[in-house]
Amino acid sequence: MIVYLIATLTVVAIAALAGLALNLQWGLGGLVNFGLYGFYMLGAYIAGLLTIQGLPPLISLGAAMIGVSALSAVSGLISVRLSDDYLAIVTLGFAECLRLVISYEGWLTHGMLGVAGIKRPLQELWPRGFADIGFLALTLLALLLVYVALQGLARSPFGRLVRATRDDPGVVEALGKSVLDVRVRVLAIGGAILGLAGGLHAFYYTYIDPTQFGPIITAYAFMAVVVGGRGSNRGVVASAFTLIFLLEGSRFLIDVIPGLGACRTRGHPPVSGWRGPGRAFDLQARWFRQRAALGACQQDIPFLTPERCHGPRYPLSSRRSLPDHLKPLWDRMTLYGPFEGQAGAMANRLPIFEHMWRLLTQLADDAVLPKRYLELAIVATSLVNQCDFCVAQHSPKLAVEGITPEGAASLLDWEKHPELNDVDRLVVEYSIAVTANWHRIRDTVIDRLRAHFSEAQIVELTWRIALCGAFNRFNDVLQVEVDV
Amino acid sequence: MARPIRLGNVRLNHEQLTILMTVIVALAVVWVVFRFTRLGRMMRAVADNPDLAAVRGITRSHVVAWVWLIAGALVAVSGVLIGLDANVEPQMGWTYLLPVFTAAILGGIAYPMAAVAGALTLGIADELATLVMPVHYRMIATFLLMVALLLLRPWGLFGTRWVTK
Repeated sequence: MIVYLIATLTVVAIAALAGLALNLQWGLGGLVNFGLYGFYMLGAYIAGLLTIQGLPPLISLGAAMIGVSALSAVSGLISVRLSDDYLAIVTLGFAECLRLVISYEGWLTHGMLGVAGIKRPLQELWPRGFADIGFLALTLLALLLVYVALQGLARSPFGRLVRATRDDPGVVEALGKSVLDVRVRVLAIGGAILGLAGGLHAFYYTYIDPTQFGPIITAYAFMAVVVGGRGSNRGVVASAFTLIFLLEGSRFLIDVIPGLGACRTRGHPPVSGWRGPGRAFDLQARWFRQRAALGACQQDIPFLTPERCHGPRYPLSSRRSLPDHLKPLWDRMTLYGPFEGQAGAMANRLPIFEHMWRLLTQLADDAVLPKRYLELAIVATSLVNQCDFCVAQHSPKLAVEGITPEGAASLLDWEKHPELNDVDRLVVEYSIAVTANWHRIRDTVIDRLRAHFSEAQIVELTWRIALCGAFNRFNDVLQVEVDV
Repeated sequence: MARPIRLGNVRLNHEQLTILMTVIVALAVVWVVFRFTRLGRMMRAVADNPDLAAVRGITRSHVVAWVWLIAGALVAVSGVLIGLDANVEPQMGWTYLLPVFTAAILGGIAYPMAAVAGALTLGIADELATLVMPVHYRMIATFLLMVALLLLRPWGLFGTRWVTK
């Protein structure tokens, strides 16, 4: 419970910082910043990326604040001339574009793989086992400093000017003050606070990826400001604490009220719209899933228990239960990799196991299609179908062909993929098209394939992609495990 | 699923034809309502000058309710049509938010029919943008177009200057 409280408090303090930033921009300054989460995300990425480059975390945090502040000011220059709804859509569009760039510029941001292993600031100060409490203290200190600074700002002459531009920009202009200047400054100060909040987010989770940052962060900040009262810093902090505690607390309802929990199937986000279980633990859950994928045990995480997903959904057959004439085939199958889970599922119906593996082994024996293209097609198809298990199975086979695991995970960005040659790209493009867009494949695609492959090879490639789609569905639905 | 119709080198899916025809009918209905009915005149009056409209006996909330009703119906139709062509998923509204706003701004916010021209221009500009930037950055092209318009021609390609932003 103490661990849970500390985690929640840290998340609340970070959310309160974002709320305070919005309260300055929108509450005091009247600037509707829907793109708040973009700036927050940028802060997290600047802090995270600089830290893993070896920069001291506190300096990275400072850089995040300055960077986000500068970018907020620039975005302000293009958008503050606009009134409420236009400013809202421009900032929202800006944030969404930022998220796209961060998702796709893998060379800079690690793309969808995320940035892992971010060091927290001042960790060496705390005794062993007190790291989270120490970080909480640091976050609360940051919150206190920002709160005091903003209270000072609100009472200062500049604060009055900001409120005046919100209420009537015309009057402010008439009095000889530059509205543009005031608004850009407000956005810059708010941006610095968002950079701080984002940086703390990166430090707290020590792992960031683009899916952690969405409009829901903006929504929470707006909720905090609306509930707390526009313009009141004290109200924003109080409502941030109340709201997030309500949201976090509601996760316990899952145990009491049936039907609220959304058990995830492996690799997929929960489909149900219920957002009750708080963000913090969604993120932690994701982080632990990542660790679980790396071999750590998922069972030892207490707060995952209500949603922990069950094992395979089918009785497992093994070599022992097979009739004798199929045992050699089973032994051959094991040579191909850890396919016992999948084959064990198939063997519940013997003809499926027998003919599928006879087909697979015979195709491998004939070796009409080079292995490199086959594995590229399988991994690309499995990525489209989000079958994590299948990707994990086949990535090692690509490693033999000189494609790194990171490269394999980002195959869907085949257009500028550094590890692929032109034929590889064509194969990946074709695999994606056959899997996601099969009814719209143009003749030119087939013509391009003919330039490199024989008719038999094209048929086998197409068949293997379609078959891989079937395997993806089979493995995913029956929840085939990697290491059963 | 029926095979696509081939006109020379152009492939046309049956769903695309359905979509095109539905859109044309919907546009015609909206145009008629806007142009020739009492409700359409009331809408334009309220948009132009709410106070004056009120003086002339137009109940604003009444008109606003009708606007929401029509807009809701149109959005529902477009959702169904998008579902026909692409797929239905919880995030689909989000994907279309930015392009839709841009199309409206592009055409000029005060002229509903200009949004059609705006949307067409945007669609073509978007497709052409893929020649110079990767496909997944299409949204950035939309965004840049919107920003450029808001800065240079905030009243839209076809609108007139009086709209304040």
